[in-house]
Amino acid sequence: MADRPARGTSKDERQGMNPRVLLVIGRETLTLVVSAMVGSLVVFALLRLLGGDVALMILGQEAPPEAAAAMREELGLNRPWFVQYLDWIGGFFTGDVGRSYSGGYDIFEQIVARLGPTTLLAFGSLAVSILLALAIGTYSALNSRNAGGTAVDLFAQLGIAVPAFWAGLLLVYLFAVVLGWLPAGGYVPFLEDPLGSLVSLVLPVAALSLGSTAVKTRFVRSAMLDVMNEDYIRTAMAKGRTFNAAVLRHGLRNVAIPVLTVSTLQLGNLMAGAVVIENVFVLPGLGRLLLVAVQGREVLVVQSLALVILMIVLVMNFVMDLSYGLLDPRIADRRGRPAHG
Amino acid sequence: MAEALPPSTAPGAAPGAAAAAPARRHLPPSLVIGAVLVALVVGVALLSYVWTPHDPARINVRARLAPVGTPGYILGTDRVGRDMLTQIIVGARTSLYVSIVATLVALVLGTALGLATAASEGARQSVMARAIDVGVAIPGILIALVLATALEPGNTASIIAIIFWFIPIAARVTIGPARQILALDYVEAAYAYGRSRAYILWRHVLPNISPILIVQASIMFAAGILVEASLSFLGIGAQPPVASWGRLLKEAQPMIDVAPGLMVFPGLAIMVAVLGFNILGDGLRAWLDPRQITQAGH
Amino acid sequence: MLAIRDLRVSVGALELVHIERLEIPEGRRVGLVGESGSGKSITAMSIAGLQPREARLAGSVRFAGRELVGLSDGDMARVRGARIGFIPQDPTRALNPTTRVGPQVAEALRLNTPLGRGAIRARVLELFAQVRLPEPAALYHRYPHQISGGQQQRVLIAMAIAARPALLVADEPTTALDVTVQNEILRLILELSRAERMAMLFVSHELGVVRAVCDDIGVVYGGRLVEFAPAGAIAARPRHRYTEALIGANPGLPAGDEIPRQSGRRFTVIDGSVPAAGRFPAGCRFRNRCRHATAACETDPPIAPGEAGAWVKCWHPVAAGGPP
Repeated sequence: MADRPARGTSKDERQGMNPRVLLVIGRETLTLVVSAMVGSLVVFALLRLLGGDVALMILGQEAPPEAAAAMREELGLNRPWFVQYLDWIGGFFTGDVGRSYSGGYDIFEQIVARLGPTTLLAFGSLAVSILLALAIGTYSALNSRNAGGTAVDLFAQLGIAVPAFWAGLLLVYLFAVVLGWLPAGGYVPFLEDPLGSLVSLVLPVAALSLGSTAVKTRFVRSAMLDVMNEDYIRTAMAKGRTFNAAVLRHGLRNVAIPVLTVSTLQLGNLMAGAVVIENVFVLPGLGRLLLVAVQGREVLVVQSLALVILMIVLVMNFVMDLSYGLLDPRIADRRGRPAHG
Repeated sequence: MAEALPPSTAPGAAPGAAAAAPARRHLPPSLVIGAVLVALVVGVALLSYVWTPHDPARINVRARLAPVGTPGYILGTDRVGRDMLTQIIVGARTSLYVSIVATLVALVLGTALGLATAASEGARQSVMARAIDVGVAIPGILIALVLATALEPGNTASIIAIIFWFIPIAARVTIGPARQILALDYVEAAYAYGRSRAYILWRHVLPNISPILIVQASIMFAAGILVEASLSFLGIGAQPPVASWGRLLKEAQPMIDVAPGLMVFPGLAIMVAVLGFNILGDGLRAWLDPRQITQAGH
Repeated sequence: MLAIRDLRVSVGALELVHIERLEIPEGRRVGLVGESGSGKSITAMSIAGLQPREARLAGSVRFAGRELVGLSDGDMARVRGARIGFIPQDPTRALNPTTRVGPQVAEALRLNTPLGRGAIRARVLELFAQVRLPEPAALYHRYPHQISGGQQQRVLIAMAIAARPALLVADEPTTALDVTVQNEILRLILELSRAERMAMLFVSHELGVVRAVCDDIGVVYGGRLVEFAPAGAIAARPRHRYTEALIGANPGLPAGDEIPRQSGRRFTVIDGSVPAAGRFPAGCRFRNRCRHATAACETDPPIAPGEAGAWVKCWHPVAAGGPP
């Protein structure tokens, strides 16, 4: 508690745009690019190493050698691996990744067309789970100290233990089969009919966000109980706020930071869940196409879709990493410093 | 799906309070509840080797879609007349086999990776840690789907996929606590005596972080059961005639309006098994109290 | 202006504080001094309605003709900030780490004054200047972690006086600060209370500090106010045996229950140690550590009035008039 500024009081930093923020953005961007390169190499290598001959994967192990050779020629499999890799990656920039062998569709076109449902499902579930968790967790922390904790713990345990696809099936049975309120599956493009699109996403989002909402609710509650004892809540009360108003005004933002951290850790699970949920509700998203391609052993489609889904996760990660910096000024100051500084 | 729940903070119970208590404490209720549920699932899985109500593979079209409570078919039958209870019992075997084998392998490899990362220095450590972070971020199901393209679908494919999926998670859980142990005075002293890095990791670090690993193992068993069910539900895990809870749900989905009961019991079975291992993990955490050794991160 | 009668603060069955009487007239500075755990801080917080959530209040706290005990959360909140300002103990934890300091002070004005946006901002800068923060305009946009502990306390003082309250409650405002900064902050608080003619309740564990700042001093032991007297009188002629022990034990030093930190050592100078809350003896709470205790001390001593509003709660007080 020395009476010395901790750090970061040079004049150029007094306004909102901290030059260190730029440095953080730069570092995160570098991480994103490197991760994407490594990820794409891993996906590429896994299929090549584990799967052996792509031509035989498509044609079947008993295919005549001439047919396999012709297939290899057609797919460019005779070229060195790095040429194949660069050609594939380059395709994402030129918009030409190739065609599905059995489906005949243009892969890039399909990816673009199917980004909508997948991102709406994933981002929608993420937003819903964060907002619900903040609301329920805060409410239970403020209003019942012990009983609320038991209920939230129970909800969290059940939320994790119920597989998303089973929750989806139960929701379909209740709301589509029995009550007939919502569609059992299918998707209406958002641009054609925004309301219909949202209605078609209600059940998938509910099923997908259930588990992560439960986990985050427990987290919010426990973080909120900690924050409630912070001195700055008392300061806010001293300014003339009631306890509840002080907690909502000054506690929520401080709780949002760890919640974002947890959400970032869950992103991979969220996308995994999205792939499964798309198949429960027959949503024409990337996950649905991916499963069809897996069953059809379409190596090129699988590796391309896997890369795109990976990129979605990495970009979401990137965005969330940056958003802590905005929520918590201490992080920007800390992370912006040179490593081991 | 493989993440630990954050420990809930009981009001009034400071984290340090439990740590001060001696190691011998009465068993936390969650440990007992979790152990009972796990014992139930394991018991059912073992039972399937010696006895099942019906032959799991037997198809009996005359008894198809029998409702719950039908004599001889207490939980009913599916659309080709297989006994649901039998399928559930045999499904426990698949679930546990896949999840336990995969988790143990992933835990060993992941812990080794985590220890190696914690013990390495400078730039190498930050690169390895960052790579593990990226590994955690990758949706494991992608690995499973990519593998399913390359391999024949089945339990082995599920196991391999789960191993790849869990390795970075196990590594990440290990790094923080291992680093804290490595920073302790007596460990640094051991370096000074000229002990090798591997010896120190094996003799000092591993025993100290083992409570964390035990808790993590329990949580990963639960996650493994969920993943196995998901993969089988997608059709890239267990293949007929291997019984699997996930595959039962896959088969129940088209019958949702005709025989909604078919999807109830497999789902409940998954839930009980996952709850059991997760609650057991919570109980172990309270009982072994890893924080007594080190304030572990996530 | 502030009058306490039989204020009891308890958590569950445990009574932490029982203050029989305490008055703070308009514009007067009253200090509460006592060892840590004596209940002085809880008393101060309870007056501002900032006691821990699980604590319950009973008795009476009348402030400007209004009873504060039993007010609803909302009504109490309107009194706080507007009429009672509060300066906390640890400035490094008392500011919201995610919000710039200027807006945190502006919030106090928004809640308690009818000022508009621009006027609020101007007033915050004025307050920053008043508490002698350097470069107010620049500091407005800093985050708490970017300024020093002393500056943080100045920001909190600006916040406390923002709405020109009639009473300022300061809970050990310098304990968490560096020794070099402590004096500056004390001088600032003293000047402000004079300039704005604010009454003040000032809590500290150092008698020397309280004596420098306050007009009257109350000595707290075991959750009870045991002696009350003008600041000059209490050090020269302590009446309660506890006060006497406090001062007598370290004659050469500024009186206090502990040798100030500057010496690099801390030790308690009275026989035995302070019992834990709830473990105090019945009757006079100090009797198990008091060399003058008799059987009479097993009953609660009455309040014995002295000169100039002073009083003492002791069966065997030091004789009035003479030095100990």
